[in-house]
Amino acid sequence: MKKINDILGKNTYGQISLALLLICIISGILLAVPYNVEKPLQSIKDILILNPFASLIRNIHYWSAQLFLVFTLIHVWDYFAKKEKIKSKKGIWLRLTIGILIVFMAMLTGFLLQADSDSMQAFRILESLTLKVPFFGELLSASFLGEEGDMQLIYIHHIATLTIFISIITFEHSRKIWPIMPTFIWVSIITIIISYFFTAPLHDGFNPTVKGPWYFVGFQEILHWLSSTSISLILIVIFLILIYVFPFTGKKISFIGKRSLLLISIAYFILTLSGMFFRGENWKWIWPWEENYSSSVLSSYKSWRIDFTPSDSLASKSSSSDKKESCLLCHSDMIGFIPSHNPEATGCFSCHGGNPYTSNKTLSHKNMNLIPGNFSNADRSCGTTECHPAIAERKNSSLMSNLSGMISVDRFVFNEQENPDILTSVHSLGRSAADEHLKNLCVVCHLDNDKTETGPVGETSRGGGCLACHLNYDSLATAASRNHKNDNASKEYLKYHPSISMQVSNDHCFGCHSRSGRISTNYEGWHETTLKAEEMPQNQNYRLVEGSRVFISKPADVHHELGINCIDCHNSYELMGDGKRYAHQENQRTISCEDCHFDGKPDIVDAENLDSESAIIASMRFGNINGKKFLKTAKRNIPLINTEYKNDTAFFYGKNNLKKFVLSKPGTICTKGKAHDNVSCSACHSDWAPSCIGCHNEYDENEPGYDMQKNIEKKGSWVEYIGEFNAHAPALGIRNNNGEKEVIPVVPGMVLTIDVGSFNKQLHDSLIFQRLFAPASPHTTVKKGRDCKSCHYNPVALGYGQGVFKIIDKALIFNSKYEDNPNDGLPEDAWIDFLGKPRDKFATRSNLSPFDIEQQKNILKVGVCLTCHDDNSDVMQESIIDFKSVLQKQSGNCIEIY
Amino acid sequence: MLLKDKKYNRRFFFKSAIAGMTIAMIVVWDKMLFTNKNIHSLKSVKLTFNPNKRINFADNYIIIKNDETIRVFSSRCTHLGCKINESSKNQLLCPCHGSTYNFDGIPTKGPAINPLEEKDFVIDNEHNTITISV
Repeated sequence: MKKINDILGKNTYGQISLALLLICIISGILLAVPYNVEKPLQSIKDILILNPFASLIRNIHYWSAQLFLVFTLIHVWDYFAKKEKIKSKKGIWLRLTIGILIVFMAMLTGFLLQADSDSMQAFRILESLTLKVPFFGELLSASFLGEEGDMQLIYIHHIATLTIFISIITFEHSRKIWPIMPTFIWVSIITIIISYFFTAPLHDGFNPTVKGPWYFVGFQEILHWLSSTSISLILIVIFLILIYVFPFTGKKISFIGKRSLLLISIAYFILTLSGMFFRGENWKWIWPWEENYSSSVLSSYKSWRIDFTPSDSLASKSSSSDKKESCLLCHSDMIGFIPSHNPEATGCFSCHGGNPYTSNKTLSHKNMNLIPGNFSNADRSCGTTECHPAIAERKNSSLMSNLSGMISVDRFVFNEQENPDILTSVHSLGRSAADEHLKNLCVVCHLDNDKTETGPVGETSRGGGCLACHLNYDSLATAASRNHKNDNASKEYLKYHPSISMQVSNDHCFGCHSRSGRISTNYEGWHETTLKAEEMPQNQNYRLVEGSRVFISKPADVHHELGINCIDCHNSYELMGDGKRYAHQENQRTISCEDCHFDGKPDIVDAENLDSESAIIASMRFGNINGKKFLKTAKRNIPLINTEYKNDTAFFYGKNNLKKFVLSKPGTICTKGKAHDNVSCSACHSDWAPSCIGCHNEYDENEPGYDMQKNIEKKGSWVEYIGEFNAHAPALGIRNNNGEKEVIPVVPGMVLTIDVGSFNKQLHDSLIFQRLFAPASPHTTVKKGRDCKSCHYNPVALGYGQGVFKIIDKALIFNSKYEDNPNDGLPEDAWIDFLGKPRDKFATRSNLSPFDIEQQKNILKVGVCLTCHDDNSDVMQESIIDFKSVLQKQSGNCIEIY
Repeated sequence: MLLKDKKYNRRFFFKSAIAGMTIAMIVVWDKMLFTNKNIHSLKSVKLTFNPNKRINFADNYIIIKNDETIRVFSSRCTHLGCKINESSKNQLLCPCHGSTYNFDGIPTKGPAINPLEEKDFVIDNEHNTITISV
């Protein structure tokens, strides 16, 4: 014991520092072999990935340097703390004081030599500070830093100038070259152990947080608060002067000096901690419980132990040295990527995380992200600065992400808010009856919902962030994925990677959009029935979806018949958001029929004036776009990159299949006269729309339920008892777009009852009845529009529901198909009473209403004419141009009911 | 005679000689550095850029397109020279100390207080290149 104490007793901080300096110099000399000053970052990556022994040397060099700095500072403090002063000669003390600065410079140059993104920014900061030195700024900068990106000068100063200076002053100070041998040995052992377990940091290139070395992070925090950075130079000079004059001061000043130095050190320590652990991207303050804390703060301190395990793959893949990441040592055979996502170019780390610098299987897969592209990780995968940051920033403004419209309407239906247009988000769901209803039955379909299992997108897929649309498994990848799920030992899936591409097929949309408005199924010509799977007739007219929903064949949309896909019309700004929040899908949508089927000259945009995103997508899909002219949407001027306007003809291209079409003009009837100016294309050209009526909602506390927001099973759930599904030409309503009225298709979106008392027992007998119609985009377009009677003499179109008109004694009578609902006395499927007004609450939008009584009469006036005159008769055709003059020509045989 | 004077002894001579040589060396050093800099310095740089993109971070420059107008700024943050390489919500962001600038190069949040340095440039539309005066 005495012997150990004897040995430890000789281990002064100075001795330990001397030992560490020697270790640092020796390891530095060895490190010069694998380090390449012309390719600094690449050579360090090669060291980390391919050469564990060089990696150990690098770690020893790094840790001995850090410890040398720490023990040198402790040694200085120890000197100040001693009661009796050891007098130094002024000249030696001056050199020692400058030596502190030189030690920091040596450390900083070492940091710069990593040449990672942190180092490159640190270079610029140092250069800026150096240039602020009066008179000699430029001289010092040019002499010690050199040109940006050229490490030669810094390397020379690091290995020679600064090291020699430190060695000389250390010798002059301690009169020793060699440390005490036992000290040297145990300091070496400790350094090697640390170096084995903790690899020296290297910025991975994707974390946008920029931080200096740990000992400068406090200074970085100070600089954050200083607009005039010259002050920081003055602070450094004052600090050095204080240290220099300290040994030559009296007792009283010395005491004040010590206390001041202690306070400065404590303050700097706090600043360092705050900079290290509470500053994230763009030096913003971040708390540990915030979402991106781990990726923007902790990943800066990622460290791992060295793996010396012999690897055959390492030996056999010597050519891997020019690759960026260790992942490719094992996964270089993987295929299936599109060129822009080829790992030879982008690596694996940018999407999957993990550790790209170690060849150890476990360590490289640690914290790996198996399914990147989910919105929970999109900021660290698809949305990083290097990849698609602009889209990541605006993605949450997409209604497919925030579900604002769906939530707002549901709360409105539950009488929990006064209008259905309030902006909200799926993340704001609480515990109200409506919110629980949404969580039980609806909100699984939002992009923020994470994809949790690998495999292709299918009918049952929901959510998945970027992957919901961009994930594509080819046949090989699909088979490999299926085999792996069936047999865990099957490793084929490691060869076939799904592609992440712009080939967004209708199947990607189908999972979510085959529900609610059922746009996907309508488009393909399928209407949902109330049949059970086992009741489904086995013939081509029926289709089973998700194994339980039975659909019957109906006419498909004419665009579908032509091979046009969803994304051919719906552009990236509609689908991924444009950064602005919209209340409902029709507000976010920019495309309209008239953008393609225009009369006269279209609005066009030249290729050179395209926005960047459109230009990139257009070039990637269709090659060289120079000189091309594109159509654009009337709403918000979004370029339609799959169109071309050439020689007074407009062409349309399929984005996925590259099919070419000549765009047709609207029919003569569409533009004839002014009678139908405010009638939307879809009001006439929608063949049918699905509707459901008589739905009842009740909360059953014993029903096995599911919280779709948290993705957990639970007891108790809202249960929907469906009524009847219909498919017929839609009703029509009026949408008021800031004063401009437009006739549009509508469907009985919410004719239902809700037993709120079943959810909230305190509300006895609180049955809510709603008769709300919703605007519809049926996606069942037919080339030939509805005939005149279909609108003018059709009770469904006018909002009365199904039934028949009869003319008895020159009076028009309506007999409904359905019985009156006891809640409001109207037929079950009606919106309004025959020639009546709506109830107080009648639509799922504030700007939607049924025809008023005068409008109903005007429509029916024409309808009654149509009972005798054919659509194409002269009189009816003339009525389109001037109905008033036609009315004046009425004969005695004409029926005038109003 | 001068050396016999106590004030101007041999020590004085050597000190003066060293000081003189040091000053001379600094002058030579200074000339050498700036001659070297002049030999290797560039008058302008030619970069490719995407003319459709609102913001191009190209080399050490930020090319900003506002409607039909293009402006080029140095990417060097005026606070401490960090390279600005990110934009968000119509702001240019400095990653080091959190300064932000609008697309006219004016600081909107500190610590930076001076606007970004604007550069002269010539665009070659045919080849989508821009020549920026350094």
